[in-house]
Amino acid sequence: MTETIICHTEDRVCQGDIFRDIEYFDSFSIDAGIVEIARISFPHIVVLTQDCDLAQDLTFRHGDSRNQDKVLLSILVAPIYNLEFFLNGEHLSELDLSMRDFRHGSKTAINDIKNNSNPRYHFFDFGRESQLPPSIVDFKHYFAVNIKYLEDQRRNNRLFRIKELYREDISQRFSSFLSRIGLPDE
Amino acid sequence: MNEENVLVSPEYREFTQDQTLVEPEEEKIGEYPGESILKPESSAYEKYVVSKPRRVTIYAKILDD
Repeated sequence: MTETIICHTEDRVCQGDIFRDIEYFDSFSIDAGIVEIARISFPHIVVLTQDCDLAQDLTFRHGDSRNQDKVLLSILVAPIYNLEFFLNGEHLSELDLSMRDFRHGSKTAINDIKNNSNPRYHFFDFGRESQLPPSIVDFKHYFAVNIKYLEDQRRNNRLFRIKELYREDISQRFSSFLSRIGLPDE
Repeated sequence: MNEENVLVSPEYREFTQDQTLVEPEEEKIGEYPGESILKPESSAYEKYVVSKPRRVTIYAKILDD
């Protein structure tokens, strides 16, 4: 499967935007007068929040609206991992997390991932022009970022946008993953 | 993919201008096709392909008034 990317012309954060170097604020503590702020820096993320919500946020935040009814508090994103590291289960090794090693499993499992048949993962092949290698989104790892923070990153750290059809595919698969029903083990 | 339909933002093109691409057909790393198309020695490979999520912790002292 091949993903298609487009140049960005929008002057706002959009659904399907790919950013680099985005930080997730992991924890905050104060002990004996020392403030500790722990963050996780992700090399790449994709924006998952619905595009109409993002557009309305901009209108209500900066426009002449009588209220701020459509303003968002945060933007939902998901990290993008290098496929090679992911298949080896090493993509979160810098966080001291060991993940599933697909290399030593069945090829069917890998093919399911690459065909987007595994609901937890979304496989990207952005193409050579993107300068990114084949990549994977793990829907379990979604997180929220402050909207002002992401806006501030837009000028220097936004790489490109996924074309609408592929963007909707991610959105549909993500919502399907979130709405799954966990049944008890018998 | 039809590469003629692919555009990249000017900022990103500028950022990656020192990257060296290798034809996927010529150099593949790993068991499955297309898994690595960037030369490991390029600076972009080092920063954006090899890099993984990492923890960054900062400390600050609260100053007395």
